[in-house]
Amino acid sequence: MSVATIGSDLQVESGCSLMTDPAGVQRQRRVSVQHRQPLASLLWCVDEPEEHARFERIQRRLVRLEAALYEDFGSQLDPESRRCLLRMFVTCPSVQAPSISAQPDGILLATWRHPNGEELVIRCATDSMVQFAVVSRTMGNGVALNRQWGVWNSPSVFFAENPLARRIAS
Amino acid sequence: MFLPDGSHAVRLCVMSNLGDDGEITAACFFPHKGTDLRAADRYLSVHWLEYLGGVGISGRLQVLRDFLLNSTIPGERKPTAKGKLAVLACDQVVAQAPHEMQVEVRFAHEPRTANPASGVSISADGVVTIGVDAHLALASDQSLDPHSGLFTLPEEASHQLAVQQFLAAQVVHTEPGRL
Repeated sequence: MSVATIGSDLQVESGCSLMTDPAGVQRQRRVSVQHRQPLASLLWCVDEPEEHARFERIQRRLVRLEAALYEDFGSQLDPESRRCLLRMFVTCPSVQAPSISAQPDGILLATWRHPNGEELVIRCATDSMVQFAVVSRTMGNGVALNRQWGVWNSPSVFFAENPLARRIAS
Repeated sequence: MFLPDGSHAVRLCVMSNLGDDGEITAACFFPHKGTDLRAADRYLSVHWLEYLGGVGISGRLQVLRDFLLNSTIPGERKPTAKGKLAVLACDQVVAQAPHEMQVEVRFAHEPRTANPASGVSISADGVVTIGVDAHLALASDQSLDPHSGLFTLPEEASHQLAVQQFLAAQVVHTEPGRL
């Protein structure tokens, strides 16, 4: 079993869960969380190497981004925004690691970009709310790009309940 | 004054706005929320590339770099080696703004209250600062400031995010903020 430290203030539900992968097959996530009170530290115990690698990549990126934001503005990543971002990945293992950037106020943006022009951007606005903007392709008389945007109040189920976003991000 | 046909606008992007591989992201087009030294943006701050002269896009960007590095405008962000200058073709942005976004994009010259190229700046409380390029202070007016604005960003946050996403995709040229 491999162990990855994800963050110092992440609060999520512990225990295993059933997830549906992109092929529609249900599988059990072998993930457990050890809480330490009061939310000082959490360790993720991740069995699956690809998930472990993805978390490590995201974590490394957040460390670099924290340093960059401090250099640019003397500010720090917004803790609620970071929690929100990590929660989305914890609850949707099929999503690829995005390109992550930060606004001057420390709010995080995650971007998934396809060579075909499709793109999903998520702004982790608060601990429990994301804003998103999607560019997708539709085939009809030629190819057209469609834009959608909106707000989602349950980041942990954003991908589960948005097939278009899941397709672009997976 | 609206920027004339054929103009380009340059957005200063800092390192933290860029993606994992240094690519331009929607975060690069987030309007400034304001600081003690600078009011919140009523529009997206850009610089008019052709305004200060220069030859070719890289030559003009170098003139703009020099301008920004020497600027004494309070709160003016300086280009850095790890940041980028992102160039937008104004006509293209205006023409390609999708109808479904329901925004009327336009670029206008918005010179500020002091002339940074002259080395002279005036703070909000009226303190006049003369920079090292004092010999240029003779031209202490607004006529050399390429600062411009991209109007009109929607107020609703997710709608604004969609516009930021659109703008990031419209960038036609990038160079390091500082060579």
